[in-house]
Amino acid sequence: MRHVNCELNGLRDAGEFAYRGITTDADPTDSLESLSPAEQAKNIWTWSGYDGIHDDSCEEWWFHNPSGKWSKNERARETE
Amino acid sequence: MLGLLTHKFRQLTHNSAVLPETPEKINAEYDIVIIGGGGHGLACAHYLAKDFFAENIAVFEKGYLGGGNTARNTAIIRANYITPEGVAFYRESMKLWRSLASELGINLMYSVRGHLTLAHSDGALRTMRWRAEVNKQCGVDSEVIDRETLADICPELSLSSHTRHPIHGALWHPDGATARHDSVAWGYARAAAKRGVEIHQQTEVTSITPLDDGRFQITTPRGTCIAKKVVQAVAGYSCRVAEMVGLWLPLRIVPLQALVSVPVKPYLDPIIVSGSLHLYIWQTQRGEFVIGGATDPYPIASTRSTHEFKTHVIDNILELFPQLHTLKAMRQWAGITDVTPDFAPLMGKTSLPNYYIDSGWGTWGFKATPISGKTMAETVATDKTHPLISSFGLDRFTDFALLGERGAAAVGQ
Repeated sequence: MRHVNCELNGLRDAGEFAYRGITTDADPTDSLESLSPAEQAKNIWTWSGYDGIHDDSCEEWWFHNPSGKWSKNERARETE
Repeated sequence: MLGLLTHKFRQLTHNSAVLPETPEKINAEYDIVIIGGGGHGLACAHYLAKDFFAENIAVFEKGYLGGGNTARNTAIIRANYITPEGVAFYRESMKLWRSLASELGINLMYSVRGHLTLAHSDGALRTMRWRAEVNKQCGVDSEVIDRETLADICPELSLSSHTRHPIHGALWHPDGATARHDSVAWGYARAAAKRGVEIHQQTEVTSITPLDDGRFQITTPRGTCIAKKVVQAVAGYSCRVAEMVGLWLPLRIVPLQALVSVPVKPYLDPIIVSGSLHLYIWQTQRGEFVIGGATDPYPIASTRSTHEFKTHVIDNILELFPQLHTLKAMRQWAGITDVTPDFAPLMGKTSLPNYYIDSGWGTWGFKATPISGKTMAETVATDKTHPLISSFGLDRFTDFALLGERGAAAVGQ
């Protein structure tokens, strides 16, 4: 069972979260209106996790559904 | 003595059961290098050699032949997709499947079983009517059936109204079939090797450097070579290999798990899929139930199996087949899938001349193996995109020309 840290509730079951991609490429709370179509495309795909697997661990957005709280967590996507 | 002669005669006239051995060394230069020795890479090599008389081809495989997603899928073959582009592509694949065993000289255990996609809501039935109409227009046998017809086709299925997700109807695809997946890789490997293709197992590509003259320098732990053209067909490793040449691919890399039960006597004939319950099930010729589910909910490049998957999928299977409650799971596994945003594949030429991709197969590209090999071979040999895969290019993500194949993925993802 994988646990993910919620900034409000501490470690919780991963099933309670929605995954939202790595933090460096896109902020899920950003407005897309100011971006060009190409930037929007990249923003949408990376936001949804369409950015493959990189060797290094990275910081990701996780949305805790029960509390409606966004959290940033570091994870090695190779193994965790 | 007679036995030896008979054996020798058989060796000369039949395909050997032994797979081609890895050559001792890597040559300094190849016309075409295919990265990935799964079904797709090997099929591409085979059709390049057979249909286009291409020579000096090498396949580099990190592990062993068909050890990746080729042997980790659930071996289902169908053509009832939802977009005209997808249906036409898989329709041609099914034509090739029917004669593939004789073409490759290997028993693929191709078995036409019929494929049922269950509808648990009015919305699901609407999508299935849409799929059926597109399928018929594109020449694929597919129709929406009611509960009575469903009971005739699959009397083992529970049609009780007292369940969480009662069944309203189904999409019936009579041509749905199964085949032995690793035999496909073995068959293509032997056929390609017979035509002179070098197949290098345990040969991981660690770097690819585009050269000024349009060729590529490929490095492996076993040596370095120069390639005029490169094809990558590496499924869950697509992003990492593409990054070696500076290409960004819009792929989610997520595990897809499956399990198989202990064998029991033949019981279930058709293949059953439920998008709402996130599962599919069919029974092999050996009597085992092969059961698959949805992809894991976040990206990860690990083939670990999880307890959550097993409990979720068994819970839902018992809603459809409560009589299987004493059946025991025998084995569980995962493969690393490469999923595009629109659930259609990513194929053909790239922005880098002479570099070709075959990826984005999502919930497995097993059923596409023959047609993927055929179309990629033509694209690589002629450097012109085959018409069947012209909609599957990488540029559709910047041109906003997505295909929308999500509604026909095996299960809801």
